[in-house]
Amino acid sequence: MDNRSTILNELREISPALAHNYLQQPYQAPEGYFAQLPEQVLQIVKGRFYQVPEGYFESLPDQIIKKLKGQIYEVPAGYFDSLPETILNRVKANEAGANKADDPHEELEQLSPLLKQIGKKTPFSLPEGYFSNLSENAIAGAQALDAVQEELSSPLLDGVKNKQTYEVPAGYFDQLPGRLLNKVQPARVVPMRFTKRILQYAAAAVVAGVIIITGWIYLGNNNTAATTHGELPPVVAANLDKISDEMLESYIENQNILPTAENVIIAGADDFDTSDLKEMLADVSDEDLQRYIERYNTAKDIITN
Amino acid sequence: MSVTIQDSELLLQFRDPATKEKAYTSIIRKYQERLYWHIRRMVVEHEDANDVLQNVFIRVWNGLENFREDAQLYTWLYRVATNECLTFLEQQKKRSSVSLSDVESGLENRIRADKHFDPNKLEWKLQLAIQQLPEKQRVVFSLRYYDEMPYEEMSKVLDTSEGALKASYHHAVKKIEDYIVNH
Repeated sequence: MDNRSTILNELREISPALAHNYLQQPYQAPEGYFAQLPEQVLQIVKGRFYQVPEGYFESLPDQIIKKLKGQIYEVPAGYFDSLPETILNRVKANEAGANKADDPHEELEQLSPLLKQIGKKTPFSLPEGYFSNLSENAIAGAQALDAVQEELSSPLLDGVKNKQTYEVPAGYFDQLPGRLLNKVQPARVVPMRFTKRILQYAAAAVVAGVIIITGWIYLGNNNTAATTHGELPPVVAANLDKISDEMLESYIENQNILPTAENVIIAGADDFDTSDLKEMLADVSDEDLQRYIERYNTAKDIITN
Repeated sequence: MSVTIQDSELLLQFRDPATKEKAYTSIIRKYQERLYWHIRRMVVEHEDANDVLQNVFIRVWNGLENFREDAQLYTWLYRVATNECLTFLEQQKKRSSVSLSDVESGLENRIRADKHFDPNKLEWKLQLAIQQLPEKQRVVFSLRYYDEMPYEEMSKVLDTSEGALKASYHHAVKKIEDYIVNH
């Protein structure tokens, strides 16, 4: 007791409120609990805690048989008789509940009491007399719009609006999709064939040959008997005089004259002009041309390659 | 649900050229405040709300004659107002070349810039909380909380199922509550 009063006094100094409720137990034990407790503990110790209902073992076989026959569930007396009324009452209760939920106040009360407290006044301010002038302003605006629309419309113009004045060629719209399709379809890519490449190189060879042969002739003419452009040397000219024109013509026609450098070049010079050569050599690079000239530096090399 | 008797009379008067303006004025006077506050809560600024509201009534002037009366007049008015708000916000987004979320934070800033703004007052916190909601959810919340619109009518205004609207409203309330509690 002295110990208890010491503790109580100490508690009073620290917290009078706590001291006021000192040793007050909020919990209660069931009535007679402590009186029965020793007997119950003894039963546990002797293994007799669990009690079997009276007549359990006598009715057990019947119950098992009922289970096997599917008769285990018992239906309360009068259950099916009262079932329709029970269900109807429930349906009515649900309907009443649904209507209640559509009430925004009830709904908000359920969802958030906090929001319900706040109130619905929007705190924004607006100019004085705004609503009193609004309808007049709106009418004025609508009338102005009508006036503008009336101004812009014209019976004369409205009358001819849907009349087409321009004629369209027959079948134009039927053919248009096809024509457009042809225009937008990508151009066929034709791969460059081998022979075409060869022809291009040949054209390059012709150009190179022209340059070389011209130079050769120019340099050669300086060392030989003077001959003007287009004249044959005197020995050749004398021998040719003995041959008739007809013989010369038949010789030229009947012989397979191998293309000499001059023939090729002169023929090429007549057939190709500068723009043709440029076109043919458009996709041959300068490096390729240079390499070609360096490698095949005689007319014979050019012709045979 | 068809129009009320009063609204049907107004519609008849509107369709008569002799009484068109008088009916129009009556309609504006009847619905102007409700529509204005619905718009204002979406766009925040009075000038913007005024622009949108006038656009709404101009549409009413042009379109009311063809109104089919298969819904309440105010349902149709709210639908026009809501669409005008959403169009306005979309245009603002395009004009300022910012995302819609930036437009929304811009609206939040406008609330804070209001000369009467008081961050300690619940009604202002509520406005800030509303701006945190996605656009459509904001509309749902506003229609239900402020205008107490039945879900059936709201479904016609927003062309959304009642179930979806209920779910949206419930989520909106929870989000707003969380915002208010945490700020």
